Amino acid sequence: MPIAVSLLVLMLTGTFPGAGPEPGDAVPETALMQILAAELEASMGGLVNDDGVKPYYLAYSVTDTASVSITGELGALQADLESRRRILDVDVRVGDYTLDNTRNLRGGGGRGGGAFGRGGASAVPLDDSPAAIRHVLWRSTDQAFRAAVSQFDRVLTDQKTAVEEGVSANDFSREDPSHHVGAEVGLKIDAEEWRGRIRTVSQLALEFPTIQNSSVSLVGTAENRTMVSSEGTRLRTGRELWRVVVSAGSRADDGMDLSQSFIFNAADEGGLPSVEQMQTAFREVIDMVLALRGAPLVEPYTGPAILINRASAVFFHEIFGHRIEGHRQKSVDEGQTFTKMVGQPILPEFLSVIDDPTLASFGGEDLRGFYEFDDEGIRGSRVELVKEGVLQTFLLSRSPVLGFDKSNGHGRRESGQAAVSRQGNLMVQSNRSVPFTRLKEMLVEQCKMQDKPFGYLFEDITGGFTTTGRGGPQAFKVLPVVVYRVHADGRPDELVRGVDIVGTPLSCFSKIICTGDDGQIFNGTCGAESGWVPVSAVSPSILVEQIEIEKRERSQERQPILPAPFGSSSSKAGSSEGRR
Amino acid sequence: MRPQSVWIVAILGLLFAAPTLAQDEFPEADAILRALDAEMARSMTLQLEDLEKPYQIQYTVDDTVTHRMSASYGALISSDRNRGRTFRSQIRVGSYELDNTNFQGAGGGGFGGGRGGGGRGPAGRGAGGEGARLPIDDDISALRKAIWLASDRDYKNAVATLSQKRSFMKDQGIEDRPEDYTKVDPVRYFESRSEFTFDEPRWQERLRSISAKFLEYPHIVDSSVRLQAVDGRRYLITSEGSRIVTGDTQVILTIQAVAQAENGETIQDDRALLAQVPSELPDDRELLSMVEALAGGLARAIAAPSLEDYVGPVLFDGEAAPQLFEQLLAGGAAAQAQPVGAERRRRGGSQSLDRFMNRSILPASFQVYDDPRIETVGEEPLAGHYRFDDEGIEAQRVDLVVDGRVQDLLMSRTPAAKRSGTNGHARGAGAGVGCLFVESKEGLSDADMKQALIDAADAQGLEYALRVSSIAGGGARGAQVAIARFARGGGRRGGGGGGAGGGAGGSALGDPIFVYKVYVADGREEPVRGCQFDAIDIRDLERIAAAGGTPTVLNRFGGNATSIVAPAVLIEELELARVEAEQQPKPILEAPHVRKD
Repeated sequence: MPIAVSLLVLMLTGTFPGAGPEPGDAVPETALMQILAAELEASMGGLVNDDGVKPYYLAYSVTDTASVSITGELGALQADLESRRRILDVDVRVGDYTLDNTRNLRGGGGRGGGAFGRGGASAVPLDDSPAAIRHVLWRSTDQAFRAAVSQFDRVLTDQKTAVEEGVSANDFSREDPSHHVGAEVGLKIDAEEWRGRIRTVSQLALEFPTIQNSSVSLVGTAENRTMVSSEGTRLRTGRELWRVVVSAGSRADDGMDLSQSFIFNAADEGGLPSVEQMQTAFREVIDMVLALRGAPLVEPYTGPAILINRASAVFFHEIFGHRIEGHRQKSVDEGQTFTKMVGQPILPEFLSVIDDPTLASFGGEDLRGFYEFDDEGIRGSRVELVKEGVLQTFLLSRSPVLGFDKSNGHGRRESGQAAVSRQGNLMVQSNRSVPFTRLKEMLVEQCKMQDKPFGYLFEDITGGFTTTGRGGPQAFKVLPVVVYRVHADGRPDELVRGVDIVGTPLSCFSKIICTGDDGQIFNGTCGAESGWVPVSAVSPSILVEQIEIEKRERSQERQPILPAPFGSSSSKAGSSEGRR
Repeated sequence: MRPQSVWIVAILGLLFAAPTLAQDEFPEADAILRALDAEMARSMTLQLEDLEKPYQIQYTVDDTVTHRMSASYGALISSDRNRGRTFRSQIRVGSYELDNTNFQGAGGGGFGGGRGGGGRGPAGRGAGGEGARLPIDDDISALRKAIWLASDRDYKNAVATLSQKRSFMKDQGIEDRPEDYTKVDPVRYFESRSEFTFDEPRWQERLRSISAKFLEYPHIVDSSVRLQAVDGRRYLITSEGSRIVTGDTQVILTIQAVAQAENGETIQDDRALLAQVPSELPDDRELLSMVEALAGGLARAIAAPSLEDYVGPVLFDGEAAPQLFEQLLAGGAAAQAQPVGAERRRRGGSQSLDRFMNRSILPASFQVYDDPRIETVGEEPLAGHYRFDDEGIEAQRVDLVVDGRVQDLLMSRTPAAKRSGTNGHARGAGAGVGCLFVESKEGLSDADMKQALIDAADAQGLEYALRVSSIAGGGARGAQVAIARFARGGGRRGGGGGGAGGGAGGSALGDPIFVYKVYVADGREEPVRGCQFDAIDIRDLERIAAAGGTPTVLNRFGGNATSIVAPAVLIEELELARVEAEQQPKPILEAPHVRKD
């Protein structure tokens, strides 16, 4: 468990056209790549079942992840972990590019493909030992191949028995193989130095006995991905993801849990914050929680609101981004909100949306949704999804959608899952933008026009979720943590708590009136059917004519009976330390 | 990791800097003890509105550094080190006569985590809270903060449970109850930290080389070598005045292999070795010969033909003997608590011994006792050894079966219907086995046991008898629960966890894994496979016709580690039926290490 595992220089900045050898050039293969390629060749040559069925496609991906996690509270370390794992994904396809074992079953059973024809996630030795690694490959491939064969039988039966759906898209796009060996990355931090910093910063909470939970943590991962496929792909890419998270939580007197955090993201340890920056952020987070303790609860409301840039970014990620993922246009279980709307307006004409995973940073800040190659080995590319309100295309993996035969490099997954189309860096662009101060004036004007005493300003959002399935309502929810009431009569803004935004996507888009000129990043981690993947969303603030908010569920827990065993123990409930 | 190690050494230095810490001299500076004491004093004053304050509190902290590593076919799969402090509280409100524990009414199942995964038994709602992770730095404020919030939560749950229990009892008209908790005298004990060094790179290298040995065996389709080394300390304090600090170091090395027969059936076997410190484990030569023996045994097993249905004498020897007693007897050795609102239940698979109190369940030559104080049998360390139980009570010998008759049961501080008073056997949620010893005055030699088996078969006019040397089921055998990726379906079927065995066919006993025909004519042995025991239960133990003199130790790890020590036994007549194992097809390609490419 040494801290620095064979570290080489990073190259995770800038864009990458032409970086590395072009396809066809000889690429220096790594030891791991050679081991994978050898077993891949043996498998493609030898795997055949009693009926003569062979795989037409086989790919091995090994994700080597080194991670470090140090967490502190009140000046003491809570956790201090380092680990390294190598996980294998095996993708086997039988049939052919037009119809294979990944086809969705129509006669019930919903999304097929998925787990069938995949070797699950197996642990691969950390040493580049050919015998030991090939043993794991061999067992996983055999299982994955058998599963693929029996799933393909079900697909063929389903094709004969279920209702015809007309012309259907192919199951797998034909693509040129990728060849690229990027620099290997490793974790390189002074862990002892960081333990000290975390102790120092976290002890600030000792002064605030009403802050019942707080933490300061550093989480870093260095991921090196190696992929080989029967089509000839030979890839090795590396990237680091770092986060420093400061968070604080308390319980309001009515039992509502209040928490707030601030996250610093970085693509290398050099981009991590200083102790002073961490202290400032931690102090702000604590102040906000204390202010929230004293804030009034909201009542359900419908009316105008501003979603400040980062909040708006989450909003677009949930209600727009997830609905233009290609695979959702293919499954009969999906709501298919936008499937038949290519070439038609779906957003106000002043908005355009792109997804560009090739961008490593925006406005000097690292983007978590950056990648060179997606998890199917396809080079990530900038995709113009919506141009001046009109839908142009979808986010595409190698599972084609009718009218779109090729991947646009958005097939993503967490190890152990089957890749589907996912967002990378989703960016909302506007040509009807005004300075934020003007946007706020417009909010007040809207309030007056609608005869509302106040509107809402959503400053910070922890995340959100949406349902895209046909079985449930086409709805979304975003979870704001910092919300202000903006009074039409000019009184100062008022912090409130206990708000969730709810709505249905199509009606929401049509109500966007104008945007700010203040694009900002929300860096997050997105969970969906192919697991958790790092993503970013960038958006300016938006003014919405009408938004619906509801009260948040809350626990009925009481305050602790005894005072905290630290700090000035006489102080009890909320102080006036909150500020804005 | 270097800086961290240095830091730990510094802390150690601090502890030893004090003049010799003899037993019962508690170090003033121990941050955990200071935090526990301070918060316990405060927690005893917890009071919500006009509800009662706690009458008893127990705090436990397990402070551990755990190294885990695994290797397969000569390469390292993982290697991790984890520092952790786990806190658990038991807060009791009410009184010793009636408190918030022993309640399963109003939809309440056993809740709250005992030891992580150690499992709450059927003892009903205990006093244990959800637990908490404590800071790993010796910082009083941070330690106290975590204890404070966990105690607050557990106290609130305790008063809520007590009020539910009281109204449930009123509704149901329940009055006559054994008391809920036994009073005890406080215990004070302090054990100094013992030397525990772990050379990580060296063990990584050893695991690589041992696991590489499996490359020599084409029939082994999966294998692994795992090591878990724990350097731990346990703190236990109670509001009654007990203060106990004990060291708890343990190293477990597990070798595991899966073989696949021609028909696709897979059979898994393993060896688990226990030691107190890493240096006590066997050397490479011995470990390699263990691998060889494991692979050899599996080779014979997969080559064995299937057994036809059988009725006749069966000899249980090797680990099958303690496995037999584990699955038929150990689970029922504890007195069963009777939570309010729960029908009296049997523990899955085994039958409680309290139904046989003062009755004979074994031949008169048999003695069964549980004595957790015993650390080794011969050279072999016992996993079930402990000095103090999970309620801080000193371990005691309990004579369960005397001259074949049930005399006593294992007890925690929770009284049962037929008796009360702890005998130092609180394990996690309820009472349980520590080190269970089965002994017989008879004590035949191995050769005499085999002859007895042949004689019994001959008397019944049989061509052959059966010898069983391993049975499926039971608890975790190794450092981690078996995870062999390819052992699904065949091999070790049946069996649950924690001593509650249970075979596939409604039998209380798991399926036999290694079975041999022993021919009456010439005593030769022939391996067979693919069979299961017909209905067998605790009453079959009375039909033991002969017992050996050499005990075999079976160590079980996991939540509550146990050891079962028993000699070979011969049961006069048992039925075994043939089963068709679920089979996995053989892999299409040959294994890479045997392939000629």
